[in-house]
Amino acid sequence: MQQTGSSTRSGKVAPPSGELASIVNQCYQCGKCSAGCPVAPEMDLLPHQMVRLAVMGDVDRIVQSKSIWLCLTCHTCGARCPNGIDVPALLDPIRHQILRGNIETREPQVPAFHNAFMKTVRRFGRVHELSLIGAYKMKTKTFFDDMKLGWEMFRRGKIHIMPHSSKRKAEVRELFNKSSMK
Amino acid sequence: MEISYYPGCTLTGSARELDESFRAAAGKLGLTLKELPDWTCCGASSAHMVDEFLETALPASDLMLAQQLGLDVVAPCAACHLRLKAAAIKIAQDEQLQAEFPFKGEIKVLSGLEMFADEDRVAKLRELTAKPLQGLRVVPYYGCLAVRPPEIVEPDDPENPMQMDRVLDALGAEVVDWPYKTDCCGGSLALTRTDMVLKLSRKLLDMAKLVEADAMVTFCPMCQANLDTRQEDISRETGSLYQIPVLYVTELMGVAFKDLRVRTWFGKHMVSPEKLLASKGLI
Ligand code: SF4
Ligand code: SF4
Repeated sequence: MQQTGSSTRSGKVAPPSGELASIVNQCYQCGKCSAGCPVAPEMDLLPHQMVRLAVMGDVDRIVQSKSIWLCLTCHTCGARCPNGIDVPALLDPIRHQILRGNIETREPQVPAFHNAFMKTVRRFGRVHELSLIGAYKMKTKTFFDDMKLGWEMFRRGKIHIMPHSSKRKAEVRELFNKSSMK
Repeated sequence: MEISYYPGCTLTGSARELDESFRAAAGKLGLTLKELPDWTCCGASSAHMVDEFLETALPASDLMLAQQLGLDVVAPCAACHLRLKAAAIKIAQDEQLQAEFPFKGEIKVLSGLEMFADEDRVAKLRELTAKPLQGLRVVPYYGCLAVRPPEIVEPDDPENPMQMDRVLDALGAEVVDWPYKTDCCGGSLALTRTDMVLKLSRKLLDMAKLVEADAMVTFCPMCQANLDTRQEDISRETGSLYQIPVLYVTELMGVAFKDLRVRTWFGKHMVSPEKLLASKGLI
């Protein structure tokens, strides 16, 4: 199931292996993925460059890029690639290794958000938006961003004070215990 | 007809109006929705980012609930639908997962659009329309996860989907053709790179203005929240006024069916559609 195998240059993050590698290796650098990528203008490595680096086994440069966290997982690249290469499918296993290995990255607020999200799921079995936003803001010290918006949403009944937790939250906790997010 | 219902976290929080209007519209069509008992989070846009096992395990546990009920399951939220369907496919391909989650794949995972856009149901929507949405110019906005990845979501057409167009046409609205049906609004970075998201959302709103749409219509709660809540910021940044209502398709079904609850739903929007709809004599 793990799509990663042999070691990289730094030895910390493994390049794609197995089925994923055989798909990614089909890339002939046509650039269609980058042409349609909505965040390409903000990226320091373009999607087709990330694919090339992965083929070359140089994942370290992907790890150190902003792009790995700026990718929106919109799957536009994958839907259009003539070889069926989906960039987020390539990035996910690299992201997992970054988080597991506590490797320093650019744009750290993005993984901080996803971690906060998963922690509220582990706790309640469901996402409680207020706890999630609170945890994220504590972690990134961005307390005052979007305060007015938050209040307007609360006024409209879009944010609840109390979490709705699921009766099956113990089962969810079990699933987390079997994962890297124990 | 009975269908099991997976509302997902967003529909119990910031997208309450989608949950309520979805249930109302399904009821009108004679569909009985059975909420999955004690459903849990599908992992949404986060689980796949952090852990491969949880990416499948979280939605798989909900698939098991639907299997116990023996009913097809509908997930209105585009992200939930994708996660549930992706899990069903992964389980079918992986023996280890199968041993843990014996999901047989005999029940279908439906998107909200798929449920309503079925040919007979579109005909029924037309029949049920008591107040045709005449003169209301709308752009259908599908967003990403309603059409991609196409091999998982299986939309009618990933570049030019028509399901929502057909539903809106049945309700009597004037469906405006526009090029950004499936372009990304940036929703997944809404809190983490708001600056980038404002640019992407603005591009969509500008195009909606250019084609002189009265409103944008979507089925995705992340797109709706993103586009609806960010217009004030975009107006402030650009100095020009952005005030385009962003509606759920099922809310417009409520208008067409003269459902009195529409005002409660509209009260939850940042850009209220009430003035617009009143000016067209629709509410
Ligand atoms: S679209 Fe596909 S083949 Fe072309 S550069 Fe991108 S990944 Fe390579
Ligand atoms: S999935 Fe990521 S890399 Fe691919 S088009 Fe979207 S943002 Fe760009």
